[in-house]
Amino acid sequence: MVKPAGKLDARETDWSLLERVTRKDEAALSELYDRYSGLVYSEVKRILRDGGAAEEILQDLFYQVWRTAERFDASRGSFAGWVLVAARNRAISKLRKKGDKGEELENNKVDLKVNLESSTQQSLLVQKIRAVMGSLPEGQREAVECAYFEGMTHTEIAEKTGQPLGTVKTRIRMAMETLKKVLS
Amino acid sequence: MNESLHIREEDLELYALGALPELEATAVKGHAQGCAQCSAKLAEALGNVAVLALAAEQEAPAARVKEKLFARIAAERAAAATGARDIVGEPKRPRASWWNWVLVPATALLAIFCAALYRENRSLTGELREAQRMAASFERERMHVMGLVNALSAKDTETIRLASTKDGFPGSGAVVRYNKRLGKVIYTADLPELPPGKVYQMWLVPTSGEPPISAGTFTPNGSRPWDTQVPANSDAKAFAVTVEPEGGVPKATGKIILLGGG
Repeated sequence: MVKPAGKLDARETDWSLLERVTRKDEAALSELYDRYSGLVYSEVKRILRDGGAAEEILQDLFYQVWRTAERFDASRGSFAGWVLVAARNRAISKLRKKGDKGEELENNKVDLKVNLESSTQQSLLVQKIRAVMGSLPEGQREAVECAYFEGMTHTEIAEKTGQPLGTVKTRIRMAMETLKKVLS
Repeated sequence: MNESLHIREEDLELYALGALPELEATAVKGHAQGCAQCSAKLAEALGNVAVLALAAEQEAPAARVKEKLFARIAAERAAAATGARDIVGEPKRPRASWWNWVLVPATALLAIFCAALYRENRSLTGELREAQRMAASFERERMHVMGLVNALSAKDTETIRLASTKDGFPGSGAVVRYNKRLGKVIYTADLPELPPGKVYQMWLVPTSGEPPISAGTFTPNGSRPWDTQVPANSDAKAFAVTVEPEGGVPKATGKIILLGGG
């Protein structure tokens, strides 16, 4: 039976839950869904600005986890990292009508330096990241948001903002440096 | 991106962000696939970039999404169970109606069409994999050549000319370019063909008096240079060439036929 969505429980790790999902344990998938559906849905909705499309990607992503859980192991890095990267790639592919870009990045290992397995950790990190993004100079924030949430290349960002390509690259680099400092 | 042998961190982050144009992205991907160091850094970059998702306004999805997900899973399980029952034998169904005479051939045709599509898809997938493998191979070769160019153009690269010794072949010689800082040895040689089972072996003779360090084996191949790596910062008193058994030897056994250096 599916557990009702409720307060998140971080006592069991993602890898342990995934191992149960490989044995077709629906309660384990439910737990993983409860852990990450909010983050995934918010990310995809922000990219597509379409709740219906975000729901579709969210459902497809967790259905893939159900069907192919055995493909996830520690060599793929963090499950939370993978799910965020995969969700974004699917959303960007849909946004930019590219059929293959998402698959490529999803196959890479993702090393997430933060733990997102509990709702408390997620809330703290959301506050932290939003605070960092809010504190970035306008140009840096715009460059990173155009790349991450709109899937634009640095050339496209340079054209959109009217800034030289080098400036755009520097802005993205500086924003990422600030973000990494906060994460470390 | 092409200043060093590895992809710069900022380019890996741009790739992870999806902000690199297609050509550059292909080059980064090709290199990372064949380079453990860059692959590990790419994993970090993807992790750093992934947290940007948390900058989005947080909102919970409607409960119906989860219900649909589990309904889909339940339907899949039910279908699988029905299939299993069919295999072990269900009671005979009522006689099929006349239009099955149309449906059955149509289904068979559809199955043949699907099989053809499947084969086509497999063939295309194979071609794509081959193209990706070639792209990765070209990228490795490009990085290799770039490394040679960097070493050859470095200001601290020395040129050492090797001349024939009394045991060598009159008129033969070699030119070695050596970058101590990088431990890179690049050389060309003008030497005659050797009998089967024999190769030339280049040696770096250290100033410390330690035994010579092998800088690789080679056979005459026209004007193409050979290159090899020795431990960085090895002080070279001289370079020498001997004739050794095929595959080379850890310690020189043949007479020195070419010699050059301090």
